[in-house]
Formats: sequence, C-alpha cells, structure tokens
Amino acid sequence: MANKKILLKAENLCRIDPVNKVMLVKSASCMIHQGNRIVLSGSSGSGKSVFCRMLALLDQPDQGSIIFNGQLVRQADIPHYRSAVAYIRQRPVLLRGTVQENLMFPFALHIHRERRFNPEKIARFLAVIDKPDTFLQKNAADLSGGERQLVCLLRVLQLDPVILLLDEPTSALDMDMAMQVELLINKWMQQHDETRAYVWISHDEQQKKRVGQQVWHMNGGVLITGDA
Amino acid sequence: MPSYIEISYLDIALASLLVLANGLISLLLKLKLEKSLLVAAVRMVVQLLLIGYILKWVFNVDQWYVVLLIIGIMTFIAGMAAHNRNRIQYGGMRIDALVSVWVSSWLIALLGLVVVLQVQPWYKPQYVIPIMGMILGNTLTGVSLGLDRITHELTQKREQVEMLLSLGASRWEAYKEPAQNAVMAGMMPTINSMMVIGLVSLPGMMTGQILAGQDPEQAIRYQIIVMFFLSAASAIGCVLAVLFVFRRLFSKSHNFMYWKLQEK
Repeated sequence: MANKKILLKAENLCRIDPVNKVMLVKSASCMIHQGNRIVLSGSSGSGKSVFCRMLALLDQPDQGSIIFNGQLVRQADIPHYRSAVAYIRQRPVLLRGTVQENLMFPFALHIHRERRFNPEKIARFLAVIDKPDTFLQKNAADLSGGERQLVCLLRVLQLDPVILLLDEPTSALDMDMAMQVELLINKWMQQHDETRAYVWISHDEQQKKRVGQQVWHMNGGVLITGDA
Repeated sequence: MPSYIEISYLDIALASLLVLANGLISLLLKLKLEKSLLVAAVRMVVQLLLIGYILKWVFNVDQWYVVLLIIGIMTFIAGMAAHNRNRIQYGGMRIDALVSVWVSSWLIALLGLVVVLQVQPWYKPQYVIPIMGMILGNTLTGVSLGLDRITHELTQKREQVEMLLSLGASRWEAYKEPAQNAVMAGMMPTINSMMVIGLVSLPGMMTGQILAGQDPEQAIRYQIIVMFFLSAASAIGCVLAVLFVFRRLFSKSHNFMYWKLQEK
C-alpha cells in the first residue's frame, strides 16, 4: 500500500545520564510510518531502551523534538501522547486484583475518562490467544510470567494506541508464550488495517526475522535507521 | 502551694545507683553495653541539667526574642533529625524536612497557644516551650515516618509508577497511591496513641502535672487539647513532606525522576 502516513518524526533526540552525565543517546532521528514493523537491535547497553523510553517521553530528551501526527508534542499533551505511543516493558507490572480489574483500571485515569471498558473487544483478543473468558476472573498474582505480559499487552491494546514501543517484551518468556505475544500484536496490526506501527527491541534472531520488516541498529548511543 | 516532694542531688545520686542493674545485666549476659550505658547515663544527666539551667534563665529573662530563639533552635534540631533518620535520600530532602516540621508545628502552636489557650503574653515561656517541645517531637516523628515511607514506596514501586505514567496517568495519578500510604504511615502513631491513651499509657505531661499537685481533671483537659495539637501538627507535617517530595521527584512533563533517590 502506498502513501502511508507519517505517524511520528523524531529529530536529534539526545539523552544524557542525569547521574554521571554520560551521553546515552546521541542525536537520534527517525521516522515511523503507518504499517511499520521495526526491529531495533544492538548490544545491551547500547541505548536501545533509553531511546524507546525517550520516544515514549518516559525519559525527557535533553535535546531534540518529537512530532506526532504532524504536531510538536507539548507538555500538556504528554499523558495523552503516552497512551497513544505506548511503551511496554520487559517486566510486566500488574496491580492487585483480578485480570479484569487490571484491564479496567486505566479507565479510572483522567485521560481516559470518556472511554468505557469494552468486554467484547477483550473477548476478541482473548480468542486470538486461546484464553477462555474465565481467564478474566483469575487473580493477577496467580498468573505465569507470560500470562502477565499478555495481560499488560491487552491493557494497552484496548486503549487503541497508535505506536507500540516494545522493550524486549518476550525476552523472559518461553517460546510458546513469546509466540502468543507475537500473535496478539500481529492480530492488532491486521485489525487496524496496517495503520498502526511498532518498534520492537529484541535479541532473538529468529524473532527479529518473524516480527521485523525493517531493522534499526543502535550502536554506542548512535541510531542507524537506514533512512537518509 | 507546691504539694510535691522536692528532689535533692542526694536523691539523684541514689536513683543513679539503679543504673548498676543495667550494668550488671550487661556484664552477666556479655552484652558489652557497659560503655554505651555509662555514656548514655552521663549524657542524659548532663543534657537535662543543662536544659534545666537554660529554661530557668529563659523564664527569668521572659523576653519574646529569647523564647523565639529557643524554639527556633528546637525546630531546627527537629527538622535535621527528621531528615537524618532516612536511609533513602534525595537532593533537597534536608530543606524539605525542615520546612515541613517548621511550618506545621509553628502553625499549630500559634493556633493552640493564641486561639485555644489564649496565653498572655503570647510568648510566656512556661507554656510556649513545653508545648512546642511536645508538638515538635510528634511532628518530627510524623515527617520522618512519612518521608521514610514515601522514599521506600517510590523505590520499590518505581515500575508501577512508570507503568501508570505510560498508560497516560498524570504525575499526580501515578504518585497518589504511594502518597496515601506514606501519609497513613505518618498518621498512624498518633492515632494509635490516642486509642490507648489512659488505658495503657498515662502521658508524661499529665502525669507531671498530677505529680506537681495539679487537679487531675485540669491535667486531663490539658492532655486532651495537647493530643489534638499533636495529631494535627504531625498530620500536616507529613502531608507537607509528601507534597514536597512530589515536587522534587516528578517533573512538569510527568516524568518520574527516580534517579534522584539515592540510598545512603
């Protein structure tokens, strides 16, 4: 499909370690289009994670700008921006309570006050990963690591993000679970007719081949995207 | 007329023999506490005698600036102590602790002494110094517990705070739960002590007044209002401290600056 819209444009993002003042990411620029399935590779400590956290504005860039949907992201838009450009961490974090309670709590946040929890939407996702409805009533504390990560993903996907920033979401999971995560994300991309995009940090060569259509490299804080 | 027994230095010497009991226990159980015990006992006596002379002097001088100076020093020491007890620290914590203790205790003391007790003149050391001392002691505990709890919560729950932020929570929404826990931790000791007061513990001030020959009913009334001063001051101090932490660790762009928390 031609003429895919630019979703996000980052220019000259720099991040300096606030404690020891080391430059972690040096002037990274990139563009993310609709339908992009990007794999971000690089050795550990090369700044991949910092870069993704910066794209999510979880770590404030010391320099540079992010243009999202054609507009510069301003301070007041940040909570909204973060729910659209969603960062998924390696270690899933759930709150106390059942799976359903974990899926419902984002709607208590101010930014999502106009939205309502949609059980049908969740049911469609659960069908993809072969989980029965009773999964929703399970206690979060009883879930396996993989199941926890799936719940974290569902929690984000139900909010209709535009870009997913996946920071090694499956590196602590076994093969089967990793495949489920991939399946779920693939389904989400298809559901939205390839209008969404993701950046996926992975160390697994097989996985990189499965999920990436384009590869970015991070080397010593320098991002190479292949774009001019 | 004083209806209490005056204590002479001989009486003190007699009582001090009791410290030998502690020494004996330490020796028998090989606790090696003899030295600390001796130092602690001597410090206790010297510090109290010293403050006794200072108080006597302040009572005699009876000037507002002397009273202000004394409670200023007391406030400063309490603020420093509220900061020093914490294992996890951040830049600016000392000043935050000091301001929390200072604002809350002086506010409550002002209300208590001027509005409730209507002390005349307002600086009368006989009232100001002991009541300020009690308020400061409690505020120090409230602020210190609140700070300790909030820094621990934020360290332990860093991932949860960030998870909330990345789901679109505002910085305040992400901070709310740790903040509630910290304020609760800061308020619990006063609530607990109000629960059992009179049943398990007879508070020092009331006991002192009774020993000095005061009518127990009046002594109890004093204790009741002081308990309200203490609970209000420690709660306000704790809330202030938790708000200051929020301002230090969460930026306007809704970032959690976790790196500012450093373990000592």
